[in-house]
Amino acid sequence: MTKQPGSAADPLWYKDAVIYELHVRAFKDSNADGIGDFPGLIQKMDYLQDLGVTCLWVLPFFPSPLKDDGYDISDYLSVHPMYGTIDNFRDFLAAAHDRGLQVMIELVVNHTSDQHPWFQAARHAPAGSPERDFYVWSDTEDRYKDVRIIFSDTERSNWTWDPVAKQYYWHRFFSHQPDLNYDNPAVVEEVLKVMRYWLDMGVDALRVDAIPYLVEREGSSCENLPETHAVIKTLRREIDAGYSNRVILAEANQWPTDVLPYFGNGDECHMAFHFPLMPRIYMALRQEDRLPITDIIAQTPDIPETCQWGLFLRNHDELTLEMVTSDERDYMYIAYSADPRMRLNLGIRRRLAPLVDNNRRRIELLNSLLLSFPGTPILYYGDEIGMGDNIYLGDRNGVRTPMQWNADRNAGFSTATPARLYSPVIMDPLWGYEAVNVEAQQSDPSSLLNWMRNMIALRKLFSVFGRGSMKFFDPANRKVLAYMRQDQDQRVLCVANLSRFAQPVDLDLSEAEGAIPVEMLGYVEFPAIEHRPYRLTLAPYSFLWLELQQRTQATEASVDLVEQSPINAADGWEGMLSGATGQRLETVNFVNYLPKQRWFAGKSRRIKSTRIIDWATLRSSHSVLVLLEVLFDTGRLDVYLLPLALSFAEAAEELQKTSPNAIISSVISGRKSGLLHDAVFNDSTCSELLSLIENAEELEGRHGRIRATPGKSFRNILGTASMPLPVRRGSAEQSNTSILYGDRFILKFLRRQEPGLNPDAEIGQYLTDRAHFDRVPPFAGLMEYQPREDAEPWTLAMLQGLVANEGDGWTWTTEELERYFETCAALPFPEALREGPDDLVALSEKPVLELARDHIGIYLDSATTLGCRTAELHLALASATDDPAFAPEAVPEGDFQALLADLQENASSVLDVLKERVPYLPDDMLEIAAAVLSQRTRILDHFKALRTETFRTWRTRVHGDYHLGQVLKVKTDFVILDFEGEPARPLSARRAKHSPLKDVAGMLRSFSYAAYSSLINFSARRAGDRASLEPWARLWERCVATEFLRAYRRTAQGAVFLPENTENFRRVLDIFLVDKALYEVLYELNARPDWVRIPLMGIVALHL
Amino acid sequence: MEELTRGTNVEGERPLQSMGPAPEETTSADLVVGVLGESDPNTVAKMCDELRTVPGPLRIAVLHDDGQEGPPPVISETTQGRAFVFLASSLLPKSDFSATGLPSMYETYQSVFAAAEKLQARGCCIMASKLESTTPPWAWRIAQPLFDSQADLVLPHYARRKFEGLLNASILAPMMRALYGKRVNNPMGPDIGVSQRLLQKMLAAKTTGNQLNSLASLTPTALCQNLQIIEVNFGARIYPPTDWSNLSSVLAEVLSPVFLDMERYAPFWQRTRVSLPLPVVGEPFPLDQDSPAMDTRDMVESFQLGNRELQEIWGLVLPPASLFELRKLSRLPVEHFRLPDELWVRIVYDFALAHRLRTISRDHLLRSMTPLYLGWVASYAHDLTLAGAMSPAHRLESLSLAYEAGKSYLVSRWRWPDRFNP
Repeated sequence: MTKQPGSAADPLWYKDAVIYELHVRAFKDSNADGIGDFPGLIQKMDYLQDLGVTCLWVLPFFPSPLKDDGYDISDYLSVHPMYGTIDNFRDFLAAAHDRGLQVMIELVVNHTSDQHPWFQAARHAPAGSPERDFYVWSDTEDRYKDVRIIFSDTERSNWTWDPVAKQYYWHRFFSHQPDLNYDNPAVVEEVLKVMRYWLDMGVDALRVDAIPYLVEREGSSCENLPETHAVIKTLRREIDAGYSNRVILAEANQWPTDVLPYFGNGDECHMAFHFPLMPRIYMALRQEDRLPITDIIAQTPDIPETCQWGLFLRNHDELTLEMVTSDERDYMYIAYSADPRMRLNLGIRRRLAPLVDNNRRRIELLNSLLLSFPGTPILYYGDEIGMGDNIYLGDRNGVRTPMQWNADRNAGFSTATPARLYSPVIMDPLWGYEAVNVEAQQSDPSSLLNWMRNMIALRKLFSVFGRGSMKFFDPANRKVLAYMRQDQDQRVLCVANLSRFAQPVDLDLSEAEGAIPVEMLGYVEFPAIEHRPYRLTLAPYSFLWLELQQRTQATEASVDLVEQSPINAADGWEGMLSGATGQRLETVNFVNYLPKQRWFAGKSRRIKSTRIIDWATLRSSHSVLVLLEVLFDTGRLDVYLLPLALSFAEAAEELQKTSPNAIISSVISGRKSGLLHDAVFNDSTCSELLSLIENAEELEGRHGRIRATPGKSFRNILGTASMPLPVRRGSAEQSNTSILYGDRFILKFLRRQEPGLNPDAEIGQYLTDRAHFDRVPPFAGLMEYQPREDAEPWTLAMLQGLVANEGDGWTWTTEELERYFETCAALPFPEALREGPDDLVALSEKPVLELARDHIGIYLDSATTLGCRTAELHLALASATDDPAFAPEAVPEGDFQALLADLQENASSVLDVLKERVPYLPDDMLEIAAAVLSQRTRILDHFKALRTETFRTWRTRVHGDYHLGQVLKVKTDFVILDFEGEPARPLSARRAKHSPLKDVAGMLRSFSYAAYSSLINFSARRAGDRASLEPWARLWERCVATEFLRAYRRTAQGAVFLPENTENFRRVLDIFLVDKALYEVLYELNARPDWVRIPLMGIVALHL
Repeated sequence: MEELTRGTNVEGERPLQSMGPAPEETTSADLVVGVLGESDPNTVAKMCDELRTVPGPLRIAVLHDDGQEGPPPVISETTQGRAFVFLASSLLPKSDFSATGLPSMYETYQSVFAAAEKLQARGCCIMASKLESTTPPWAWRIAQPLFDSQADLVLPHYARRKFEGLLNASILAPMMRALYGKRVNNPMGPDIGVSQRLLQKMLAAKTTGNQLNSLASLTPTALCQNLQIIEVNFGARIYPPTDWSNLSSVLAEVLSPVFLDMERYAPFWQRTRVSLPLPVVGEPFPLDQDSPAMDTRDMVESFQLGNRELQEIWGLVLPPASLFELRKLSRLPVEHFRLPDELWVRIVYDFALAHRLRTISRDHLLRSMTPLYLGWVASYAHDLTLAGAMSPAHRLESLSLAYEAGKSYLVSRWRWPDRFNP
């Protein structure tokens, strides 16, 4: 016979396979004799192809007395006449291969039938003859006497007396199945011949039956012996030497660690069944607890790279309970086989659907596990339509009834007289073929069959299921099973609810932070994964497969492209920013470039595309200012200011070295090659920007106009310095970009653009030019974009005088605290300072104790100065009573009530989040978290109480985002910076008026943060000092806050915006303090859970 | 030899100098150039001249129907340090050269690949279309990236007029771009360059029962296997006049292999989420965009007729929302007729899905797309003939973006093809 190839091209095809187990006898009868056959099977190949399975596992079809459903073979090289001929088998094989399907047959070579010619020859041959030596014989039953009996219901011994041979022969299964003697090389050679015969024909895979029992040795269990492995290695060598892409699947009903040797070092079996997993899946489902599954997977060892587990929910045998403890077996019997007739040997002889009470959701759930666990899924024929069983048939025949094709006679399986069928079809009203059949389900779009087909197709789209690793999650809710499958860049999160009720689950997916889970069945995007636990809610018995997609995929992929394919710059900016080149910039380069910039605020969203909405040329530097609209996959669009320049030759090389992140694309212009980049990195562009402001110039855009205006102080600040001033770039910017000009000016480039005046520019100009408040950087000019004459201008950039300073307030404060803790660490905490009221407002009415002043030192003076400057700022902001943008306003009662309602609602939701996250907090924070949660009612009542009273409050323009990082230390004084507000909020909100006590609360919270974050940093180096220094930290915070408040209140005394008395001042301040601290709680829970203690302490200290 | 010389005369005045290399010298080549279709001898001779100027010791076999019978002719005019060019037309059956219709053309491509394999060529290129006379030398232009840039597939980027190549522009190119993530302009050539690596994959697929289409599957196969594709800017192709009476067959023959590849390569394209341009060699060819106006009345009427007569088939393929939209469109007067890109894209995707699911006979299915396709062509023509209309490039880019935006619709339908949908 010519050697035929198998049908698989990939040597690891079995890893991606979906195997379908079927019995020829039960599948389709073509000749009306009541027994299925190969021609019948061929008729149904389209069905199998349509179902999507990729490999057909055909149960034994060889000549046999059929006392064990064909596992008692009497001729290995032929086909049982009931099923057809060897040519029929060849036709079947060809039909399968034509459809790209693989075929697996049985190699049942542990034993033969007692009717096999080898056994007949052996029993008639004299003892010791080569013929007799084909089997295992003994004169007594005493050999291997400790070996267990597998078919304990029917066999009393592994030995049976043969009256012809006058010896006992060895059999691990039925007595009519004598075991072959693998110590005889002639037996091994005969088995190799059998194997070669089928492989030569083109068979793709062999399931080796009863593989652990091939060889026997005295004093052993006669299972898993080294000599058995030697035989398997011989079989494997034969396959590897003579064939390609063929597979051996081991049937070894053993514990996973005992199965591991059957893979060898990748030189024995390619696959082996995972027997212990299957009963545990059923156990987990019934107990609504994932533990049985996670437990067995934890005990499953890693297998060689080229090997694979075979997974199944049901097969042609009983649901075997050999690999469970006796308690577990008892539980399974009670749970799944109420009728004793359902039990057989150590198992339960039922099909999948009856086992789960025909509950569709349970069937789907189990199949979702089967299809997503690491291994190759094996489906048992009929389970795809939810076929039932017949427990009144003997042995395992109840799960081997004819396939139910349609509602015709004999379920469409055969046209024979029903009495001739090898087995009765299932006929009861629930499971009968009239209710459950392929034809009906094919025409029902919602049928189990269609569901299975879709799920199989889905699994086949993702190699991760067959080839990926698996990692379980350990959420608190054990009714939920969650695991990640990962293979190279494919990551799939699978979550299954084992319960009959809906279940919530919080999963720690922080490793995948930033990824977007996409539900795989419907391709539905879920919210992006963040650092905090990811919450899902699952319907009863439901499951989710979520592919984790990376946002950055597109941009990463396009990097090479930019390098490969330069942009043609020969036609100037017009050519580059329009037409196909402009389109490429919009769709590829900018999409790639933006997420890499620190100032880009849309990193958490995926950019869909960008669009140049306007641009203007800077005449002398040949740069352009571009307004770029950015569209995201979710949420509103943003507009960014993007200055662009071209650099060639050495300048381009320098940029490549120093600021590669600023490069947008390579370009070619004539024979020159260069770079398109952010023009902030081009000195002449920066100089031209300053010159534009100085000369109050205008630039024409394609649609609008850019107008530059100097401030009144420009000339003063410039002084005697001559233009152009040396240019350097700021390094600490986040939402904006700064350009510094000598020691005179700083230009703030406002990257994210909105229509309307930027509050930083607006307040800066007001304080400098109108209020003449000198504790802010002087306003020196502005660049604005005017889209149309009648539209609001957009602030593109703001110029300020550069203030010489010793650093920002936060850095200076933490350095002071470092020194403070260093000094105090060696000192006992003074008892006189230990206790005292925490009410800062009350404290601020008295001077700080000298003892405290001795320890804290000059920082208290600085706090006083800062309190004064803050009050002066608020007075200045409230001074222009004729300017509606700045004039103080009495807050209408309704507005104040609305504000309180908002704050109360926000407090409630933050406390809810805190409650949810408590299980994830470090142990040492549980107490403080519980303390805050226990104050929930008091906190909410605080807002509620104010709502019942009539307050007279005022609102003015305020800083809006006030903290130590927003002030500069200038000798012994401070300069207040950055009136931009929180950049993430809309401009209108940032320009709104508020109570100035909001700023006061912001600074008080900043003192608290400085104290405790410095303590954390200090004690990170000296862990033992943490507890002893905590009172010192509290003392520092209390005294500094007190001094700040005292100075503030003294300076602002009489101002309209101050509440009329101390009590009201305290109550209003408290609401902003609580609000700010809760905002911090939420931020820290999401970003730095280890730091959440700081705001929690702040809340507890308020004593509301 | 006398016969040969006569048959390959250049422009009837400069006789080719024939040389007689040893027979074994014709059993291998670095490059195989297949010239298909009706190419006049002068054009082919010009191409051979062009190839002979290629620097380096390349051996180039030209497969061309020279009208000769008998043993393989061998010609060359070799200059030291330049390519050696010879004819090896006998490697292809005569019938392949004169193949008409797409199925025969697919066979011919396969035969050229087999010839290249036989000659152990490092690459082959196939010239199958007529190019306008303004086009510069093109055979080496498409072969060069195979050797200089190690490209596996070289595709043409033709300069095209607005009403030419619309089947490619409306379905093939934008759909391939959306599916496979590369902005291929002419995924089905037909002028192509193929590396040895890719042609071996194409030939091997046949023996493993994984039938690939020798032309339609080239681009998807190269993309899915991460092979390098380079586009070459070409001049304008001379398109054969559209045979409107045979449009249904053309649609079926072109789309069937494309939809089969979608099934084959689903694991790849379902995980591809953005599209990127391909490296392009050469400058675009300027082209006069003047094209005669298109009469769309018949097209719209065909659409309206289809909407009346093909409801039964369309009802099996398209969801209610699409059917509803089509019904509304069919009531519009010709001059107001517009088939929105979003709807057209969903229609194409739904037909691809129905093809996969074998909802009805695949041939019938694809033929039933004809009125819908005509509806899109009419819309396109209307869009481009309006005063202040978009440029063709912008119009087609917007269509491509619609294909990309609609891909999530395709993926969800593909994965869960429930008929109960909006």
